[in-house]
This record gives sequence, C-alpha cells and structure tokens, in this order.
Amino acid sequence: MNGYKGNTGQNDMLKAYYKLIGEAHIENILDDLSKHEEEIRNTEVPESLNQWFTFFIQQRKKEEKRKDRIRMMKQFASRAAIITILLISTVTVVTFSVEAIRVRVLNFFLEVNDTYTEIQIQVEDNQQTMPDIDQVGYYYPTYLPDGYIYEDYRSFGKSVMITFSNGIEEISFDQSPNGASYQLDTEDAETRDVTIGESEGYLILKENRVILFWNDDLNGYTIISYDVEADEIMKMAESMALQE
Amino acid sequence: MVLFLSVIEDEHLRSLLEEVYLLYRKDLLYIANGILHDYHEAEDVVQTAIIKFSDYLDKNMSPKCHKTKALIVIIVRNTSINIYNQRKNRKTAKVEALNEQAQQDPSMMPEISVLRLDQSGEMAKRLSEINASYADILTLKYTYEYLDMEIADMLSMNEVNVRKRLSRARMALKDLLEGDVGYEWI
Repeated sequence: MNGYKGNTGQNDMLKAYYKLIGEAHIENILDDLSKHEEEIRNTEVPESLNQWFTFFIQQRKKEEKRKDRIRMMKQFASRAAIITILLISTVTVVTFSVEAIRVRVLNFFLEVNDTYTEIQIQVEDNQQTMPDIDQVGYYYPTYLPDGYIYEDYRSFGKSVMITFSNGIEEISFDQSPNGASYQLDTEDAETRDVTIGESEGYLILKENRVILFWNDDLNGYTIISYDVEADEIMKMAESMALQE
Repeated sequence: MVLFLSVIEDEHLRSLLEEVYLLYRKDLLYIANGILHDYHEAEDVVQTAIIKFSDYLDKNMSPKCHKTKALIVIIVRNTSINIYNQRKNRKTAKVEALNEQAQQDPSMMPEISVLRLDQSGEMAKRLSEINASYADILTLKYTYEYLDMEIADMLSMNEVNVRKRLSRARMALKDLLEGDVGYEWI
C-alpha cells in the first residue's frame, strides 16, 4: 500500500507516553526540592551573583534596544527606498509625457554653447539707406551650382530671400538692407576673408555647410548652402546681377 | 546587597527573567552546590544556567509555573554534572552496548501493553536513578518539545550526543517497563 509507513499510531502513543514521563519527572523534581525547603531557604546568595545578574540584565536591555533600533532602521530604509523609487518613477513619467517639461529638463542636462558670431552692418550717415522694396529691385545670381534651380522667394519689408533647390538640398540667398543683424554660426568652423567683386566678405565652412556673407553699400547678402563646394558658392555670389 | 536587590525588586523594571532569578536563585545555588560542593563553581554554574535559560525564555512562560522552575533546574543540574564529570573525569552510567537505532525500529520500542501509565511518576524516578540525565533529556524532548539542537545548546552537548542519550534513555525506559533492570551506576 503506497504511503503507508506503519506503526505511526504506536509511535504517537509512545511519544505521548514519554511526554507523560517528562511531566511526572517535573513533579518529581519539585517534590525533591520541596523536601529540602528549609535548607534552600537558608542558602546564602553571594553578593557577586546579584551584581552579575544586575549587569547581565542591563546588557540584555541594551542589546534589545540595539536590535529594536536596527529593526526600525531597516523598516525605515525599505520604506524610504520604496518612496524614492515611486518618486523617481512618477517624475520620469511626468517629465517624458509633457513636452514642455521634457524640453526644459533635457536642456538642463545638455550643454549649450553660445556659438554665434554677431555681425552688424554699420551704415554710414552719408550713404543712402533706403532699399527699393519693389521686387524688381533685387539681385539675382546668373550662375547656379549644377542641379540647382529657383524654387521660391519671400520678401519681408525690404529684405528678400530666394531659395534654390536641387531636389535634395537648398541654397538660400538672402539680401537685406544694411543695418540688419546677422547671427552666423561660427563654432568649430573655418572662416576666411573673401572678396566678392569690390566687397569684402566672410566665408564660413563647417562640416558640409557653407555660409558666404558680404555686403555692398546698400545691402548685406548671405548665401547658405549644404553639400555645395565653396568655390561654387563664390561663383554664384560673383554672378549676382541687379534686377530692375 | 540591599541596593542591588531593591533595584531588581523594583516592580516596573522587573522582567520575566528577573522574576525567575529572584524566585529560584537559592534553589539553583543549592542544587549546583549539592553536586559540585564548591560555592564558587556553583555560582558560575548558576550564571551559565541563567544565560542559557534566557535564550529559551518564552513570553508565555509564567515565572511561578512548575514547568518554568523545572526547566531551569534541569539546566543547572546538567551543567553541574558536566562540570563535575570534567573535574573528576568520571564516566557516566555504564550500559550495555546498545544498538542506537531510530525510535521507528519496532524492536526498540516497548510493548504497548506494558506501558504503566498509572506509574509514570515511579518510572520517571527510576529512570533518574539509572542516569540522572535520562529523565531530564526525555523531559526536554517530549514535554518541553525542544529540538535536538536546542537541547544540545542547553546542556552544552553536541547534537549527536543528544540523540545518543535520547536513544539510551528510551532503551533504559523500555527495559524498566519490561522488567529488565540490569544497570550499574558508576
């Protein structure tokens, strides 16, 4: 028969009997002691034993207090850890689900370098500074790098911006009256002084970007391009013709 | 002495252990001195016994309960006997070579028909006469229900010796019940 171990009832009975013997033994111990009650009462307890016991009890109480403190610290630490994890989780969820907060938080951790070089054209008083706002009064390149064609223009007051494209990249040509302020990114860029016709300018090279800036008596001109050789941009600039 | 006693006797500071100490310190000293015949050693034994007892103190224990008193008495007595034996290099009761098998071995168990339930007190007494520690260890195991490991700690033995002594105690009881008493106390 599976699982049958045999004699379990007998074992249990014997255990109970041994327990009975033990209980009887306890009574025997106490009976024996009671027979010597007089002598026990007259037994002197040494002072050193009392002192030892007092010290022992104090040590036990200190130990119990220490264990209580450790137990409380463990409880506190585990609760603090749970709260910290919850807090971090909540902040993370809120941070990355709200764009305004995400941008601010990420900007806080990102290193921002102010890398723009400011160029401002100082207009001399004896110069005429009133641009022709008529659309015909603008410069247009007669040479374009290979593959680029006119795409679009926009005018903002006296400023005109013309965009050329090869279907992938764009070249923007901006002309604004002198007096405008230009923010040109020169961080980690190669800059060269150049001459466009009779005007002086700056060529700024950074990775695959080429920025050419120059000005004449009336306007400041900017060409910004990507993946176009600097020489091509120079040729484009030198080909500018006034459209009347 | 009065100062220390007053500290101990202060009601609000008294703990279970303190109560046990106050109630039974004289009994413990008397027992230990009765075996060792040396007050200094008896004092050491009582200290050892109290430390052991404190490790097994149960909050449900009542200081005035018979079981509580008997437990600390058993600890003191066995500790005293151990020291006495170590000092005198005495051997414990000589018994026949026993086959120390587990209790489950039917040949080692007394016949149920001879269990003298009404004479348990007498049996316990006779068992103590054969070997003072036999009844103690049976009591600790089956009445107090301590583990072998705990008994070993209390009586300053190793677990193997606890099991051996338990086995011998059961064998001795079996022989007593079956009327076969042939032991010498040395």
